[in-house]
Amino acid sequence: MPKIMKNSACLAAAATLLSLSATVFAADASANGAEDRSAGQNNESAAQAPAPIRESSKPVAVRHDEQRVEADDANLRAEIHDGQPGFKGRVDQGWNIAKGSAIDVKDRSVNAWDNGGWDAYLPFYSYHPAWVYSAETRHNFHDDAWGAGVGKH
Amino acid sequence: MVFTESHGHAEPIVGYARQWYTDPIVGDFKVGGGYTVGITSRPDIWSGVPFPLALPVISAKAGRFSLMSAIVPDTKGLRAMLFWARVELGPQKPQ
Repeated sequence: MPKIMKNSACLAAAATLLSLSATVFAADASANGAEDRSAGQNNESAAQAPAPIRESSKPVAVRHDEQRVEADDANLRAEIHDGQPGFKGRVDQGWNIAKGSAIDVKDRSVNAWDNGGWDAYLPFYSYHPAWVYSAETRHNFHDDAWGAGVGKH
Repeated sequence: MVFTESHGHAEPIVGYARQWYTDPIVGDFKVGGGYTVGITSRPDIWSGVPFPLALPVISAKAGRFSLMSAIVPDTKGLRAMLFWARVELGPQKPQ
């Protein structure tokens, strides 16, 4: 694989740039919390619930509900657990990445607009796969995508 | 850029695209890949209300000329590809 060494940016038309970044993170799934939640919602299964972690005079369902809340709170904190950030930490990381990407796009766009050369664009064809569309649908499509555009790079 | 969409209507699109190119493969021919983010409008989507998009873009480039394609993904893998030519006008930037 050849080494990537060159990059270029082009700005299509004089438009305000919107960079929409979405970062999806899998929340820390708390299996214990899920188990606790199911146990806490059903008093009948309280007898099968695991032994209480600490001595308490509260009913089992209440204790399990408190443990679930504590587990959720722990996941929301950005503290480090086993070298991995918590849920909030991951959200912060994702936000910082998205923010950095948006700033990078903005800076490159402004630079291209202020200092870049012009581009001409000539769209000419659109391809519609046969395994997605029926022959009749493809027949009705316009494959000739003629048009024009300008931009800066 | 404005082009004729699949149903024959004019589709405008404005935005930003970025490409990363390989070293020259033959002469000054190189291939690249990247993405585009922008806003477009189609009569068959939200009755023409502009909406944002982000699509992968591939390209082949030789000198001032590039052949580029935006890939529209689908649950079946590929929904459509739009091809366009790009010509860099004015003085060439040092490579």
